[in-house]
Amino acid sequence: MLAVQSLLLSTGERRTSSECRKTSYIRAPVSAYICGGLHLARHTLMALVALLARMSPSAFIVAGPMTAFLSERNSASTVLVAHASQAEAEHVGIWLAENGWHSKAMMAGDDAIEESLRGQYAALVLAVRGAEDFLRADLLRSAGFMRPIFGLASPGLEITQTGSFDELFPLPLQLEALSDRLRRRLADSSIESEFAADAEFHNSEIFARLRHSFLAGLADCITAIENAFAAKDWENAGHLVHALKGTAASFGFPRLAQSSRQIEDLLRTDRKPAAEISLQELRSQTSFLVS
Amino acid sequence: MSRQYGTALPTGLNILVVDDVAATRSLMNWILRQLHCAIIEEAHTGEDAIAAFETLKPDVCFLDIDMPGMDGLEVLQRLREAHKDAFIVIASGCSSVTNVQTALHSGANGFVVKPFSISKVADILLKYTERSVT
Repeated sequence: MLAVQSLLLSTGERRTSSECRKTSYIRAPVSAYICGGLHLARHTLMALVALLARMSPSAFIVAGPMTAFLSERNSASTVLVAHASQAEAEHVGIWLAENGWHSKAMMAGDDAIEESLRGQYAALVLAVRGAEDFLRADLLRSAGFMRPIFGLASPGLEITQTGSFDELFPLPLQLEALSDRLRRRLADSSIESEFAADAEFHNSEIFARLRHSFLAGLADCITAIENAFAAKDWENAGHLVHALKGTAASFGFPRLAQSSRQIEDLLRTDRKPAAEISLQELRSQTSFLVS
Repeated sequence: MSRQYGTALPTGLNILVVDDVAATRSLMNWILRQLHCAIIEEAHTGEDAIAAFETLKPDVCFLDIDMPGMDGLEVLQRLREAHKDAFIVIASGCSSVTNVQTALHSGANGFVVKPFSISKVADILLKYTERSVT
């Protein structure tokens, strides 16, 4: 692999990859990794990434040979760190980043369980403060989350069984031990190949066709929602925006999915006037997409 | 416990996909073909799902929760009454803990959150394999 260069688009500074990992975790909303290729090609890609970043400030974009990128980063995938305090989660996250892991930090609790199921995470590191966190891990396993779950046991917590956790680490955490387990567990090539297959799928011709077919029916779908609103058929309107939310997310239109979710929530909580305003925004987004 | 090194995905499974949105069914169908499933049947209503289930006797059934008419949970309940050992997975865009708990308490064997991906669906198929082994 040729040299890895990184660009912090938020500050305009270019840094080495290790600096970038550390810094981008803390404050940069966008980071880009351009691997391999010719110098000119890398810089052209960086310019393109910078342009994309203006449109989508949460973008995380990888370009270049994926296999080289994976070996550089240990894994293509992200570890979700759900800790008892945001500061501690970030501490673990920074340490993982320094050791080549990409991670996302958030507070432990139900939100972390929901995020684990919603996102694509290679592993979960979850704070264990009591019995409720064991139940949360059990729920994840019952739902079908088959990736490693590591627990960070609060001081004083008496633990006799690991339950649905792969392993429990006492606090203060021996970070080397956690990193070692992650490295061993995520060496599973089948998991890696599925993430790669997902990435490949989103660039495939069949996905492009499905996406095109979704866009072709989008205007009719919005019209159907508008008709349901006009007829005050709120149940049907709710079903239609719910379906749109799911398909828009599946086909890579997060803003459309977000707007649909907003309308769904507004209808569910009986805030019809606000839902009608949001529907107009949805119509505008659709007009932009299909024009 | 999570999946182990080199866990092989099952192949040749018969799958029933129930969702009222055609695009979602197409997407799931494509993902399942990538995962070497043998027969993939689709149903777009709860009533169709019950009829298709009786004919196909699928190894795994992916059931959308929010459908007009008979919703996913009602279909789940009916199927569970008739097929105690069926492997039925609820699919939903809403990953709230309450939603997951409701589905599991209603007899679902798993819960997959939309948008679907190969890795999420593979996890479910592995869970099916684990259950078959135990």
